[in-house]
Amino acid sequence: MNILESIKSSFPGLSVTQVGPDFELEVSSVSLYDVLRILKREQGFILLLDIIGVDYSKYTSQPKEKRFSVIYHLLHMEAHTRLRVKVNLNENEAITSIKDLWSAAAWAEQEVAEMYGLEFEQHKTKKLLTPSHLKGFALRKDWQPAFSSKPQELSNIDFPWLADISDDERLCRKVIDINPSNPAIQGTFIVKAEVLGTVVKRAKVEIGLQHRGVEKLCESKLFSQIIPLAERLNYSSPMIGAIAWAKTVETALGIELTDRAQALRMIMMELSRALDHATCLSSMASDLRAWDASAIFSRIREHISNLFVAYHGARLMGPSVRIGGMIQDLPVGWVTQCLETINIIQSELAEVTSLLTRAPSWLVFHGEAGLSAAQALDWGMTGPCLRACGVNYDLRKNSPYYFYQDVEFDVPLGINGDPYDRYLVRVEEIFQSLRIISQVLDHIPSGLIQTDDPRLAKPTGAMRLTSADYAKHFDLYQNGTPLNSGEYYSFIESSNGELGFFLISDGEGKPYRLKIRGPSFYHFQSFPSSIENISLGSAAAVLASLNAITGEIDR
Amino acid sequence: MTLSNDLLDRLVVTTNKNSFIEWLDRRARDNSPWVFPFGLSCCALEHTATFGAHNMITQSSFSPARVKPEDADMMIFGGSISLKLLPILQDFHKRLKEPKWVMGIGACAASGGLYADGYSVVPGLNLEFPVDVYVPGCPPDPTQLNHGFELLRDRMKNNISRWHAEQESIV
Repeated sequence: MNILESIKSSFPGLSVTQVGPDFELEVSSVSLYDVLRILKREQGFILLLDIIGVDYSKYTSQPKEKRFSVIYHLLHMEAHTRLRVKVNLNENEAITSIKDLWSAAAWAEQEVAEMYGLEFEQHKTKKLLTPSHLKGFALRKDWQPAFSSKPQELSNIDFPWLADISDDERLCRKVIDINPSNPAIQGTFIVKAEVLGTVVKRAKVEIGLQHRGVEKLCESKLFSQIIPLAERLNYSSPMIGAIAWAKTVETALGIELTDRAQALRMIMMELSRALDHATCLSSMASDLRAWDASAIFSRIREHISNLFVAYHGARLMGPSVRIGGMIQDLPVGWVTQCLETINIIQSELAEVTSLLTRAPSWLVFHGEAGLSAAQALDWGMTGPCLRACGVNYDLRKNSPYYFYQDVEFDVPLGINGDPYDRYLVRVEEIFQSLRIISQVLDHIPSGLIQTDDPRLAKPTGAMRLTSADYAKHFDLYQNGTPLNSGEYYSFIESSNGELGFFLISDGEGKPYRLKIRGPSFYHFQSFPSSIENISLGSAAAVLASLNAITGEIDR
Repeated sequence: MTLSNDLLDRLVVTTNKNSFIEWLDRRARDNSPWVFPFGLSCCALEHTATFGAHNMITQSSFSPARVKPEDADMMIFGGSISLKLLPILQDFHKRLKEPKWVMGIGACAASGGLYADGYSVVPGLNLEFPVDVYVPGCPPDPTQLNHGFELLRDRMKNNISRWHAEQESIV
């Protein structure tokens, strides 16, 4: 029995529809909790990918009865299908919190409540991302920026003493505040930890210090203008974000890429993945005082950056991804340079693993603060952090895109889900990425790197352009490529996990609503509870190994 | 040889306490300015790349990697200034040692960059802080950053800063 039939038989009264490769289920807000519980316990949708809020008040192509929708995005990890459970709401209707089904729902619900002003029952709605003096709900369609006259105070986390600790214990414990100025931390968030000796008892985090309002900005930009914004989500692997966004629009438009463009994208993504892992491991090593290892990892970064410079002239943020392909072909001699670099990186990685993997100071973190697979799924983890817990789930293997089913590579797995296993998984993934790159370079297809689809292509090539060509050109740059109204979701295995773009189109060249599923948002949410009852040193290791990228957390 | 007044003048320089400390301070600052790096996103990566891998910032010894704001001569800011971050940043700037130098890295610090239209960023570091040197780029690469540091060190040697100018205009 396939998934669609089994959902239909469980919920005979509800309508299940297929939208592209995904399923959609509409429920009322009363039955939401029970439906989600059955989907999780009996149907096997065990991972909560995302919670998305939508304001349909200006949606012209299909007027809705109720103004808001909350969409719960679930993943079936055996059938590799995604299900969207949709609840339609009016402004003052409350909705049940599903925090006790998935811990990952806490921040996601808080974000929806903050951005749309929807109320979740059993849930204190506190601001998560935006500053306290911002008035109104930012992602509503009729919102205008407004600030209250009261000046914003320094964001202070309320941290009361637990009721059940005695006065003696209260004297021993102290609260330490790790904000971005603290030399012990590199990242833009505030962590407050209650410490007994060197052991962390409780911790709380404050995020949103890099909230740049990307999702709101995207609603006023053409599809092609969103590429740089997508690139800067996870800035340590810039090309992956840009390619993920381009892939979203291409699948929505139904554009087939040329073989060479797909191969180029695979090379660039794997290079970016290696770059990201090297950055993460470099900062992890320097946080844990392994200076020489940190230096070697940053040398690996330099090698990959040099390849990017040779390809498109920029070290980090590249201008080369376009919707419909790539803008530049590989320059002469690049392939040789890349193969040489792969050799160098492999020998340097072997050197650094011989330094670190058996080092006593590094083995300290073996078995500290490990997450079980069930816990990791509960927190919505994907990517290397999930694989370090022993879950064999890699989108490149399970839902392959481009030529990933044609190349040989292994998916490294850990056992304990601790910082040490995450380190091992990341190092091995760099090796596997290099393996993929050399295979693609061996069989790189020839041909064009841009699609010649008339909806995207500029009228070039002809010696003389007619006025109709100019009109088309103008239209393309002014209004963009219109996309049929509907909902589209596309994902990619980014270096941190599933990076997904959920796009709602209103038939224009701009997104009506764009929700970015950044993997770090869900990883970092697990941080405060996973460092309870471990030492401060291990807490630093956990934080570094999570690779929490503020661009993805805050957006 | 008797100790004549003439010899004493040649051997000893008389000065007052404050100007001597100021001279010493400036000498120390010129040779090894301490930096409080406050890099947030993409620019921070390039900043660490400049510090770390293939070239040191100057020939002479520069600064420890992680410095408290109280000890630092200058603040390097790279990244978007979101409204939520602004009070924290103002706090850091207040805590910097006087005189203060500020360097802004990247388009976001200079003008808000890509996010300038958004509701949640300050479009430009200069709206809130006296900025001495901007390094353009998104993100700027290490050679550009090096050039920016050179310009800032020139200003430090001559004891010029926007902060001084603002202090004078207030008085």
